Amino acid sequence: MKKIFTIGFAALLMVSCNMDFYPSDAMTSSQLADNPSSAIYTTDGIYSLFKDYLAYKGESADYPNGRNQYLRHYYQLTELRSDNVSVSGTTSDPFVHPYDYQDVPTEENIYYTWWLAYKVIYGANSNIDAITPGASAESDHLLGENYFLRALGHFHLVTLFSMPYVYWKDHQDALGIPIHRGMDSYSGEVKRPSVGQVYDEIVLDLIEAQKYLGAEGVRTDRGYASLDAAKALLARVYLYMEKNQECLDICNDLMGHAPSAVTAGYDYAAFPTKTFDFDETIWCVRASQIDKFFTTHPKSAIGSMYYDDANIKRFDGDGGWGEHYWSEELIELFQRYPEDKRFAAYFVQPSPTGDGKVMVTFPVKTKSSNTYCSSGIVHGLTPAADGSVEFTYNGKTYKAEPTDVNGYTQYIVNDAGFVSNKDGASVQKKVYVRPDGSVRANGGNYPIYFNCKFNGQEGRTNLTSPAILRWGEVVLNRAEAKAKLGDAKGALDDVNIIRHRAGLTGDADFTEANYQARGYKDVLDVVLDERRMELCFEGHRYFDVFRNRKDMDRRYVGFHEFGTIKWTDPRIALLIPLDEINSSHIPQNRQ
Amino acid sequence: MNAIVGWEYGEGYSRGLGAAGNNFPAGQRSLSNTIMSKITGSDYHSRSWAVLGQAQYSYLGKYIATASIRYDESYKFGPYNRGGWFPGVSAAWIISKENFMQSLPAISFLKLRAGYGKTGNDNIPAFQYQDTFSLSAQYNGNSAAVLQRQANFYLGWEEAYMASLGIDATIANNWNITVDLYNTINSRILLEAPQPPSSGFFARFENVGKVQNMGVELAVDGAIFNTKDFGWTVGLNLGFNKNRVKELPNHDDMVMTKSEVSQILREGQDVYSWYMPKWAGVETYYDEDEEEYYGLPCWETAEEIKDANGKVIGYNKTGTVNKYNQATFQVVGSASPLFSGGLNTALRWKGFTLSMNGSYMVGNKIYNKTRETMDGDGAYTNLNQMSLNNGLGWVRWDKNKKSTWKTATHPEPVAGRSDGTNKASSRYLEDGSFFRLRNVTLSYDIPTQLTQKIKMGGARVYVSADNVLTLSRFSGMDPEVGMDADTYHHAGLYSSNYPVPMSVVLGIDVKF
Repeated sequence: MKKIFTIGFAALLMVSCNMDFYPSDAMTSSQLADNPSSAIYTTDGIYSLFKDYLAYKGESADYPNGRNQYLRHYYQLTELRSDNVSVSGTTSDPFVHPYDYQDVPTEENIYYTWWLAYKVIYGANSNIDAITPGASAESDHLLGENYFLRALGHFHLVTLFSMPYVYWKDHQDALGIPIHRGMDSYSGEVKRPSVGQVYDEIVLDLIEAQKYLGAEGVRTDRGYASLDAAKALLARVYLYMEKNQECLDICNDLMGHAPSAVTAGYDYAAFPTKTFDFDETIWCVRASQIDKFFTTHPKSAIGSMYYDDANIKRFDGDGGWGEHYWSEELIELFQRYPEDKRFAAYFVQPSPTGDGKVMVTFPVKTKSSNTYCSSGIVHGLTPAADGSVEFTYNGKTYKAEPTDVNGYTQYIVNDAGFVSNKDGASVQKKVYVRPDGSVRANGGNYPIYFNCKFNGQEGRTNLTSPAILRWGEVVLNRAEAKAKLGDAKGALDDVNIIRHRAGLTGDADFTEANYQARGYKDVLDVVLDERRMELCFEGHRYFDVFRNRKDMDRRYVGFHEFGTIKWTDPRIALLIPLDEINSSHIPQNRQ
Repeated sequence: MNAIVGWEYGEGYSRGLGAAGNNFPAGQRSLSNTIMSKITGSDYHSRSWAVLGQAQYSYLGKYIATASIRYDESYKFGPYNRGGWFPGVSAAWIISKENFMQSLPAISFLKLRAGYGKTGNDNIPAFQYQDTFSLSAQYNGNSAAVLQRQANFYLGWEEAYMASLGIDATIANNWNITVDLYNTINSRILLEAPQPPSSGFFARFENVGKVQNMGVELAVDGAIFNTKDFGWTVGLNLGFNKNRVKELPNHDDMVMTKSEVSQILREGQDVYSWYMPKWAGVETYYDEDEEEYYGLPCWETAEEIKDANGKVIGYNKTGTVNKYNQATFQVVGSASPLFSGGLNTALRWKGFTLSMNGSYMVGNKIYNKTRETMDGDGAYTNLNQMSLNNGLGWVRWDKNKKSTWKTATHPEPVAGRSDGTNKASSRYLEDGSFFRLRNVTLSYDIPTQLTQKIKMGGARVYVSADNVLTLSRFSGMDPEVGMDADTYHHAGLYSSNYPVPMSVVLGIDVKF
């Protein structure tokens, strides 16, 4: 009996089966390696990461609101922490926390951005490992693109999750982010090198990228990285590192073959609808309305956060959240020269009353320790003949008087009762007088100023292919490098290139003779204000302020702490996701 | 003695094709008239096989022994670890059949059982051991390949070692008693082990760690009275279970975050340990600039207490902070109950029967996620807020009511606040203990003399009520949250769950 049992068992055990099955809707790395064109797929796969939803941990790709798109998080984590944006009250969307410098290391915008940038880096490493240099012009180009993408991933990470390079330069004790250059880097211990080391490696990758990107006629679409893209990014990196001469050299090289539109200008309003067709674009992330992120959650795109087309119907009438607005200070900067084409193209005030009436708004500090500031707002006012506006707030009547400040008009309330710690209406004497329009009331009052810089591609309200690198920045990078190298005239000439193409000429030009009278202490400040306007909402301002050792003045209406963020404030470096700290035990920021 | 030998073979095959489009023009029903959104297709093949043998031996009907063994292979595992051996032995002794028990007529049945065995688990999605690229994305009109995971060719069976000891007894003819003791160790657990996200991946399936579950289960039922006209039966069951994480890879903690709420796996601790800042109540703060008082939220900062091996065993409070993102994440309780069970009883008098059954759970902590939005002190101005007047002693800080400055459980409301009072913290962690009377039924059996007159076999009228009563200090709709976890929710998480309806049924059963 026992014997039969044993023999039977043993006999059956010898019947074995083939168990190697592969999914039909995916490919294994070895299957891909057998395919000579696989590097195209895997490189395009990296680009797709910037726009597509990916599932993180227990969360399905589009859970809960399809917000996990890299570009959306990136633009919010940068621009929302600058002085260009006013957020209109709270929401379940975690963008409010970085906006108020209260980022939480378990929130999706933090962990997703971190993880995805490293996924870009892993993909690039994997491709660089797989592509043999010199095999063909196409494969060399792909190799160069991957060096570029690896540099970009590290650059985004070090600028978001570490203190600025100049802070490290001055203090030497700022930690960078883990670097992965090469597949073998994944087996070692995870470490945070210094900020300086990270930048050095980024520079090496961008120099390496240029070696492979030169071929004519290969992957020329602006959706792919190019030789110009590698140079433009390197110019930006050098500028951040205060390597001004190196930055200048690259910019001069680039400007030597810049398309004519760079100086002649282009159709600003049409630009976001077709970035990839404009000469202004050096590299954009190409999105399409067939992309899943768009078919499933069009309202989660960055454009929807700035703009709501439901009533305006400039595009297809699709609704947007419309929760981020132009800051009053940015509007004021543009309104110094009302003929600015850029402002006309991107500024949208929904439902203005159009009857010549104005509204007065001013920041109101509503809580001390839960500091945020909302807006006092008075509608339906008619300016007096001298331009002053009388308004009544909380039962008291005040007068906003147009006042010349450095040749520009500001409105000031000269009434001690208007400003005081305890009972005053406002927290500053300055108020804003604007055409009357609608307001969003959400724990405060926020005048609605939409921005359509991320809308209108393929006729769709919430779709765009954001230009990450464009010529306007190159010109201004050169202007800034010149300013820092003491070439005041050259810097202002470059500023004027940008102004001319925006329709600002004649008296609007900046010259060495007039900038000080306009309230600028030095030429660099002129350049920075022009950068602020030209590149607004594109994720530059946040870095441009701090890397110039300047403080972020956020004393304007918005759902944020009313005050100024010092350029040495440790909160500038976002908290690293808790998932990273818990698994690799690298040190957290602000400890 | 009997024995079997067997061979099992399983093969699966599935094919899928799907298409989806948006923006149907009115009246159109063809997909070709839409904006194409998605096309999906798949073709999956699965296979598993096993050899098994089992032998059973029984002696005099009193002694029973069973031994079994099986060898399993599953296609879900890597080529190096596809097979697993799973033996088991068990024995039973029916003591009441022994001669010496005949002198104890009160014990009509007594059985002692013991078993030990190893089982396997392959309940994971397919292809997890392979490094695959998904090709469902597109970039610039071309297919784009995105790496989904790293390979783990050593992925294999999860194993459970289960030891059990039990007694079944019947005493005084109508009382049944069952006692079970068990100790189960799950090892090589199939877990999506966290990876540093800086690797580009946040997790991969690995065989990691050990978890122990040990406990006692007790069940008693029987009749207190059982006469012709009057009867009363009761039944009670009670289970104590204790689980512990025994071993983790590199002895590292694993923080599991779902829907921005975390649990932590840490050696020596409960598997369902909540990990979040500890709420420290409300602080009355005086702002000297504004000469104004504020009722601010507080969380603890703390230092970890470590044992000689460097393992975290607790926390020392070091202070409090008013900003959520400065608070210390710590273990603040567990979703596992101390014990749970049920009870039932039935009273019978002549044709009337009154029966009740209920269940209970004691000592678990529920995370009430709904309160993040509904009890957010003004974080959401567009959502209804929970009433604080719910008998749980909740008090809102009020500038004008000094009595609340000491007793407040809720900070001053601020419309559209963003300081994180409504982020996951022990503030929303609540005692999940409850007793629920699930059903009460009163019925009357119409005497057969009456029913026979109208040619009925029998008739019964009854009134029955479900979910009659719930005793709990939980603030949500239903404390019975359960321990099932899914993609979005941890075990023990309550998130806008539907309340259980109370229902009353009046009925007549008629037999012909």
